[in-house]
Amino acid sequence: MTERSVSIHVPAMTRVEGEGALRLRIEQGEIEELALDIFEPPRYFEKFLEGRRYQEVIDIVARICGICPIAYQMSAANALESAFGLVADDWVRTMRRVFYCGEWLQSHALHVHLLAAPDFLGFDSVVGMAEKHPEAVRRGLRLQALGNELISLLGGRSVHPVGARVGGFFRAPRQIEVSQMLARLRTALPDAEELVQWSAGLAMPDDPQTFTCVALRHIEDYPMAEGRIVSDSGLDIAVEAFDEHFAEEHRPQSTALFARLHGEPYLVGPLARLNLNLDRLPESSRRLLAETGITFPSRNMFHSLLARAIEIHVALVEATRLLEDYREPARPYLDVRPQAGQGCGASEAPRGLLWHRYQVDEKGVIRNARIVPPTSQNQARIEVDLRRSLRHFGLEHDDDALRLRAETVIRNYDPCISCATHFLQLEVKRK
Amino acid sequence: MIRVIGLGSPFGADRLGWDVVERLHGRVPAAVHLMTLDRPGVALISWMDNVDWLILVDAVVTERSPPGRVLHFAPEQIRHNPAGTLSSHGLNLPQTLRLASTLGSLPRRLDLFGVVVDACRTENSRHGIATGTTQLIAQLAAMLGGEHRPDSASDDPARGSAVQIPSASPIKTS
Repeated sequence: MTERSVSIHVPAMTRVEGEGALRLRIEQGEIEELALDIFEPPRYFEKFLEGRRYQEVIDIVARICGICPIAYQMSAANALESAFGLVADDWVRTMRRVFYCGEWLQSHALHVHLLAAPDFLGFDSVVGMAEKHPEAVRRGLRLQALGNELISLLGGRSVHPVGARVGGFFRAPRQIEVSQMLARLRTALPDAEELVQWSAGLAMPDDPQTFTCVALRHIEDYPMAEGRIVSDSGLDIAVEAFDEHFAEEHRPQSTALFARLHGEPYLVGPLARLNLNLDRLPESSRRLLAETGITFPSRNMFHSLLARAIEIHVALVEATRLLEDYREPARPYLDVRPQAGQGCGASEAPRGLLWHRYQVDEKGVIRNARIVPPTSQNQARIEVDLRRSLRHFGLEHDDDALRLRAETVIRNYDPCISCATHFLQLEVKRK
Repeated sequence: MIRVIGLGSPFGADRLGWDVVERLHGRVPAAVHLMTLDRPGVALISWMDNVDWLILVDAVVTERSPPGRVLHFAPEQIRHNPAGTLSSHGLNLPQTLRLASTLGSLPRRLDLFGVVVDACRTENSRHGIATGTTQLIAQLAAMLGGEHRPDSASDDPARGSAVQIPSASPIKTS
């Protein structure tokens, strides 16, 4: 063990979304300080929503994130429909799942190929990686583009889509549009199969660790836009009971909140979802995963990349299955009758569980909003992971190697810092 | 194929690329493919397939030129612009073009035209941006209407202007 003193400051992390930094101080071979600083400015979205009518919420929350707007829209729709006592019909629920498949496809394809894979192949960025692995990068671009097309099918456009509404969608795709999309989805399936094998073949650090997984669990399908909240430590609760088990707290170094389950850090995201829902995988995805020879549930956080690859396959298989039975509805939404009350909603954003709660008045005006995004739920876990991963890696490594390993650990969570920032509490002391 | 893409958000000052493309309809030959993309990131690369000449039009934010100034960037200027951070919300334009170049996806000719915009939008800047936009539309219509063809950029009307890339040092153009 080294006796040197090391102080590493990564002032601005790359290949993650938003503004964050890492402080690491090692004294006499021990980590004395380790902090994930989140200094992305607070964004006040929850406050913006107060006083807005329920119809505006879906478009406003889509602006929270440029890469997972559908997750925000679906969690909000679930929460508001719950407040109004509205149950979406089968067509709407099916199309929401298809919509979600598009978001997983584009988000995961981007992260796997452009952001995470360079770490495991020894490149600084995807541009360098593209010189040696052009086909892998092209595959990522194809899958991402397909995800965007699928989002556009129901959302009208892929950036901040505008097709969703409380009660359903503004417009149902025409049969011909769905037929064309089906052909593209089927053509892309070999790309997804190849991606899973390719991801399984990447040299990953072998570093099992203990953590609690939290995800939605659907009665029969791999979870996306609905389900109960479960953990591998026995939690099994309705979405409405989130507050009774999860708590958020401020930390001085972060404009994002740190969430805990019964006082402990926990993991949300693709690895947690997969670990908790192996029996909900489509048969072909399960077979494909088994062929990799990698055993799940996995305790190796770096298997998150493989979990994303499997979820890309799930998204293609599910979107194909659901669209094969597509019928144009008489009307793509249900009427909404606002009533005073409170509603909670959750869905599985690409980065993990996304929970919303709204209090509304009898006219459907938002009186209070609370949003718990996945990155703030993962923050405490990231710090725990960093501490033990760097120890396991070896603190005697030089600063560059430690920095790279730390960044790799953080990027592995695909953090979306912009999503996670919240309004900071202001404490004033006067004498 | 010649393709013109207006880039940016469809809202606010950033929709300049959309405005230019909309106003080019009917002013360029029908064979020229006109389209808009809302902050496509790397998805821009998929629109380079089978394109011989790609023209990108975008709003430019810089303090080094006044609002309304028409700028022209050659591909090497854009690609060599210092990269920002690579984010999960997409690569910026220089990074995307570098990736396209590495993948061999760049069209034979690529030009980026921009008009400097500002967030404050004073009366003066609004007037300047409107004038610059009209000027750029006229330039593009002339270029695409027959006076200019791919690989004949020597008399490109935008060349010779004080071209700058946002957040970069001024670049001398040919």
